[in-house]
Amino acid sequence: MALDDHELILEACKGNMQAFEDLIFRYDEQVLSMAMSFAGNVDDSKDIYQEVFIRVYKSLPKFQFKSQFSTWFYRIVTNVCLTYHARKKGKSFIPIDDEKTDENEDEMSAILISDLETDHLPINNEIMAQIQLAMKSLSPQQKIVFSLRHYEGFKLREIAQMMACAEGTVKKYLFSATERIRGQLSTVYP
Amino acid sequence: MAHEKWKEWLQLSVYGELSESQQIELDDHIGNCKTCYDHLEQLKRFHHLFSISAPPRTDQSTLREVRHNLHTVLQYEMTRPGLRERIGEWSEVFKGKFAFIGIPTFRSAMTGFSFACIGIFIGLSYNEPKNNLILPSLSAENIDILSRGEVDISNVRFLDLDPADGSIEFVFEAIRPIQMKGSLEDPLVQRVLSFAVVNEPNPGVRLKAINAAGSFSQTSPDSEIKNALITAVKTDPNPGVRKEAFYALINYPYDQSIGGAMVHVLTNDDNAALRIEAINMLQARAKGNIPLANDIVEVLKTRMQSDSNNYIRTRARTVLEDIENL
Repeated sequence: MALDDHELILEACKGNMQAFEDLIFRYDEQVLSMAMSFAGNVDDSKDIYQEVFIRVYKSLPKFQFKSQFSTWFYRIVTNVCLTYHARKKGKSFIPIDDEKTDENEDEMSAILISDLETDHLPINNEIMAQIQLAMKSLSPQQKIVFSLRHYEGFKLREIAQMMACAEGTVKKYLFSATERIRGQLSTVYP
Repeated sequence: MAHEKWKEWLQLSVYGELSESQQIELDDHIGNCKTCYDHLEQLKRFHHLFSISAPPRTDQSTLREVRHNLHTVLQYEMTRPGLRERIGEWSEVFKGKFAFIGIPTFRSAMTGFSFACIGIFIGLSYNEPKNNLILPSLSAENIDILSRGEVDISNVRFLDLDPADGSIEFVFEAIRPIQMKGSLEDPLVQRVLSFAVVNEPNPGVRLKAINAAGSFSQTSPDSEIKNALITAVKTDPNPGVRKEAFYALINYPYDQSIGGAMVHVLTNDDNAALRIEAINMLQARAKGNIPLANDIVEVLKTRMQSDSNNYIRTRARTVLEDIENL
């Protein structure tokens, strides 16, 4: 009979590495997927994945079962995503095309039109690339809410719990993110 | 104001976040409002765009790679020195860098600050693991080994780079090949084998370590090697290594952790041959009138219904029938 999360946590806190791995293997595929949709590239998503589970490993002894493990866990995931973004921004320069300016839209339309003309890529990949480009203009909070809702299928209430904020705040992030992306894509997909 | 509300509700409706009564109210409104109807249609078009453009799900090889890397990092985390030792090391670096500071007032301030730090540190250190960082100094024999180039030097950290007193101080890691011969009962041999099974970068070496570990299971089961094999079955990026680890593992007396590894293979491994082996093992147990745990039965049901491999679906059904006939 497989142990449930609660039992695995207790075992892991006693130093049972196997129990800890069994616990994280229940969640890690989704973490990698969330990191991928947030970061937009494999290398960064691998870093986020690793940082999440090291934090979980270090913080697990402090987990007091006052909330669901999954809530506590996904809060760590969102925190790591947000801090990773801030740290990365601090370490590296921001390419000029990442600046939040309206000129982005013109540039994006130019890219889109040229891609449409060449027709080398399947249309879905093309849209995905443009959405990824548009997502770069979002704030980290908007981006994570957008990813969690659109790509991971979490409910707004669940996202609010993960981000430790009000549901109204999540709505605000989501609607503003959607509007922003919609606004940018509307020049090409009216 | 009213339209602001409808605008929000339209978005929530597309996300499926409206209650039933709110949805009915919105539907009534849309029936009479062309603007909101058009806005809804536009939102739906964009949501369709988002849904068809979701980033690809992570593939199993990437997942296995990150799991393997994580395992290595966690092992390091488990064995790394505690905060006390690290502070000791930092203080050495600090002393080296700021040895030139001799102003009495600064020294007094630093003394006060140090006492405050020590107070905080004593409180923190109660929860720290009791690992001792032993830094061996160079003996004459070691110097001889170094000069003959028999070790690989890495990770050099300087403690004192100031040559004013005629010397500098640093720490480094000297890796020296060690030849070892011993019984498989020897705990040190077991430890080295376990390490090699999980951490050796060369898959050929991992395979050899697994073969040795597999023969060990014939004598007496050891949890460290068994755990290393379970880790390899679950996370090794190389399917050949996973398969060998699997064969070595099934020689161990069946227990909950091995059952967990079977569940993992059946649920997550994209290698059909390995899933078939797991089913074979479970069938042998079922035929031996040994009941299977509920989670294993559930996984077999899932495989029977949805495995991409036709043969596996059939085999899973056979095992489940064997279980029913117990």
